[in-house]
Amino acid sequence: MEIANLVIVLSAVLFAALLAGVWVAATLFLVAFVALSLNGNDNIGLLMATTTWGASATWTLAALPLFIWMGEILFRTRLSEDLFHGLAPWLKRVPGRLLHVNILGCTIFAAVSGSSAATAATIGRMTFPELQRRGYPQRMTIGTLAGSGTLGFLIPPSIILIVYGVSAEVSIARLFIAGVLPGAMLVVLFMGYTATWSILNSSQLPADDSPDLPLKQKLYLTRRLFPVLGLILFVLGSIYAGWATATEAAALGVFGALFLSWVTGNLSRETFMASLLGATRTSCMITFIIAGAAFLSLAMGFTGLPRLLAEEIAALGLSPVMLIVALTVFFMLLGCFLDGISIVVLTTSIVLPMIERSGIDLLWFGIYVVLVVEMSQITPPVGFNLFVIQGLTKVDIIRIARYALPFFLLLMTAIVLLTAFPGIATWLPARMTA
Amino acid sequence: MRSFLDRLYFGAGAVAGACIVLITVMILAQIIGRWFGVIIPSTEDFSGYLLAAATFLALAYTFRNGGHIRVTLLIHRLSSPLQRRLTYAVLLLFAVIMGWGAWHVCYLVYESWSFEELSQGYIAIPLWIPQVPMALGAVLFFVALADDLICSLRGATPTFLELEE
Repeated sequence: MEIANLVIVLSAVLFAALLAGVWVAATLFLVAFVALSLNGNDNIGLLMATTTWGASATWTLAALPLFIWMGEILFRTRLSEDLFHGLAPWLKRVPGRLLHVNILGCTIFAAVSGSSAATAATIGRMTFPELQRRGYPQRMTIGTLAGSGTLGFLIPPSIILIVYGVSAEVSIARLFIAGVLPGAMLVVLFMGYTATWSILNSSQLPADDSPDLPLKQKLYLTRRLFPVLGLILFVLGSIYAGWATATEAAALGVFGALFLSWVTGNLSRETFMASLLGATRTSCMITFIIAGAAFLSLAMGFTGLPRLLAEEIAALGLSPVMLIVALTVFFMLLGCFLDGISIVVLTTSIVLPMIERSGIDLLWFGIYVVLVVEMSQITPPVGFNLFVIQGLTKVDIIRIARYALPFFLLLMTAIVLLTAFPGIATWLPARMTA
Repeated sequence: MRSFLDRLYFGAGAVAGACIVLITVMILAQIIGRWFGVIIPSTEDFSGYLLAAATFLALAYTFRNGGHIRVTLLIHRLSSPLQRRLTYAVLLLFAVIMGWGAWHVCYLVYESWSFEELSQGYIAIPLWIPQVPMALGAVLFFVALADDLICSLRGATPTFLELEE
């Protein structure tokens, strides 16, 4: 079949199936099947079965259920309440005060959960009513929540970075470490913007009525956060120092989370089973998508489409920066109706040869993709995180998108910075002892 | 029949959960073993096998709980009779894909068995053994899809629709 026709047919099948509500994993298998049939391959079934087995029985992917389980365990402790009460006393002197609880709370929660929707939902459920009650402006309460909710994708251990690492064959440990500085940069950008806005609009903020507590009391209120912070630092530190692979660090994380939950009296038969079954379901969903994506990558390899696309792009003489700009627009469109993981697996199946050909570092590209995916989740008028926050606050989605707009622009700034200074992502992993 | 199937789906999901626990325990044992200079062989291979088992055995259970993701943005805007018909169509399509998939996965296991293929790792075991859970899970998932299709054609609401976010 003519290659141009093949592109049209396959894109039509892909988007028709997705929009009709065919499950993402099934869509990937379907598109791969159609591609191989049109390509005239024999034994499609055998190819599918061997690829699926190869993709699902891999050691590196074992980090995925474990990190999800660790998050599920910590999620069932009193973490979100502890975050609010533990962070609030420290933010008294920062302009914008409790608005920063949203940002820092999401940052810490993202480190344990690795999922963006869960981060926004969990932190928002706690902070939104509280901030509304205290008279903080809705615009900033929702904006900070929408913006920092997306941090779940980048702050390691991030589920989506595992998915990218496994599909693109990039070291997960290095990806995690590469995500640290860009994540910190985003937090600084978000907090800086919130502080500046608060100074300029101080009349819209409620008066401060809480007493300034002595240091000892502040530390006392924060005491419950230290074990969780310790666990996160331990997990990341053991990867950075090369003591443990990502999978081993994940197993240690599960152990640490179970221990914390036991010490704080949250561990019961029910919470254990609920966390385990929750992790089983999420990990099953993601791994099945990864298996479908592996089959799609194989099918794409047979059709030669990604290679051809890479040559076409190379022939156009696009500079890497132009390519990145074009891809950013493309991902933002996908983000209007697709979730982050689906975007990443589609990317690795089709776009990766193009990236390699242009000489772009795959480690850097992983961080870039995650940043763009984050941004796509709050792209007005539609984005995944906007729906989560709509469900939570019952505010109309267009208004949420408007409130989230400054944070969308900050994410865009972060992408520009990352492209201009690739070292933000690549400097730290280059210094790893591994 | 209803309660038997439901228990079967949940049971397979629980076994999948047990696989994840086993992965954790095995990796922790490996880390602790390393401190004392003991090497536990083939943990990497076995973690992989257990992960595959966890994924496939949980497919049906995850599906029944609305855990597999799909794009519902457009569907929710359609009229409810149209939504119903679309649900039949996508369920049928998924059941066909999974029926085809389950058949070929089972055939792969049969081939591994008849060619007496061995795993590659330090401890070589017949490859069909770790592949059996994959085949069982795939077949069970096909059953779950057919189950939901038949139930919804009879007028009931499929469970995944109730539990989808």
